[in-house]
Amino acid sequence: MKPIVKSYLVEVNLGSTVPGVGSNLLFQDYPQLRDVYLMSAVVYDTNTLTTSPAGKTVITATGGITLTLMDRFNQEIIRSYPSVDLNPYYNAGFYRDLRPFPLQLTKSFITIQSIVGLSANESFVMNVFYITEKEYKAIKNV
Amino acid sequence: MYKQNPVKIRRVVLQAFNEPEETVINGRFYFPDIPELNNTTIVGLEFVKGGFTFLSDYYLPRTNLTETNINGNPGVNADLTDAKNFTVTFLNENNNYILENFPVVALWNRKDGANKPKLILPFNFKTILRSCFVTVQNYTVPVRNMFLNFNFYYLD
Repeated sequence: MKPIVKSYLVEVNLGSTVPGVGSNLLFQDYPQLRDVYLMSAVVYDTNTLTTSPAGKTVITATGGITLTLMDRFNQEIIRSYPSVDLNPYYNAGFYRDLRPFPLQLTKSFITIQSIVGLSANESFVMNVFYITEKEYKAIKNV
Repeated sequence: MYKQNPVKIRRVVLQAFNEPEETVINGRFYFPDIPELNNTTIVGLEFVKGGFTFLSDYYLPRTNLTETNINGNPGVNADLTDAKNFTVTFLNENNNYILENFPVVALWNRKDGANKPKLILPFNFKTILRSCFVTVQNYTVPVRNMFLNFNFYYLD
């Protein structure tokens, strides 16, 4: 695992009713995560965190949710990735190392594949491990 | 000849309450000022949980923590159930946020289940500890007199 240089906990709220199967829910804009390179993404459920930074209950089980992450050029670098596979709780504490790419969070989204275990107003939380563009240029040839 | 830079370890105890008899409240609880950690490179960080446990639950150090009288104050070490309500935020020497709302339990060095490896998450950042804080995300839990224990692994 590469060392964690910077991280930011982002969330997607399910809304007042549980979205239907196949729904895509976009991440909101986090100004701190503009023009950054994604190193890794980690997903948590209530085994790790009970309440999100926005005060919402964290999703109990993320087994029915997949994740799609877009880069700055609108390419789907990670497409429909099972979010449970990004949860260190189920992966012996490890997180995935990704080849860094310029993340475009506002066009990235989660997809509801199954509503089992989901409740209204819960939040999907994801920890974004990132570096800035300047830091990326310093390490890209290493 | 290759010279290895030795990693040092510093235990940091943070109290997450205002008064000894208060319940935990919403808000930020700042780390104490520990000059020896200022502007050093933090290469590892772990949360050490309280509550009854076996010695094998710990990676380093292999000493059990008592549940009372930490730092001379009455209190309990936060166990996993308590710690799930907390996140930790670190700022660098320029007061820029570097780790923002990192779940405390995600820093626990042991994962559930037998035969799971014990690991300490690798980091690489510099910080001024007194500007960093723990946030209570869920303050409805009736926990009082709570301490959070962290081990900082750092390079000079």
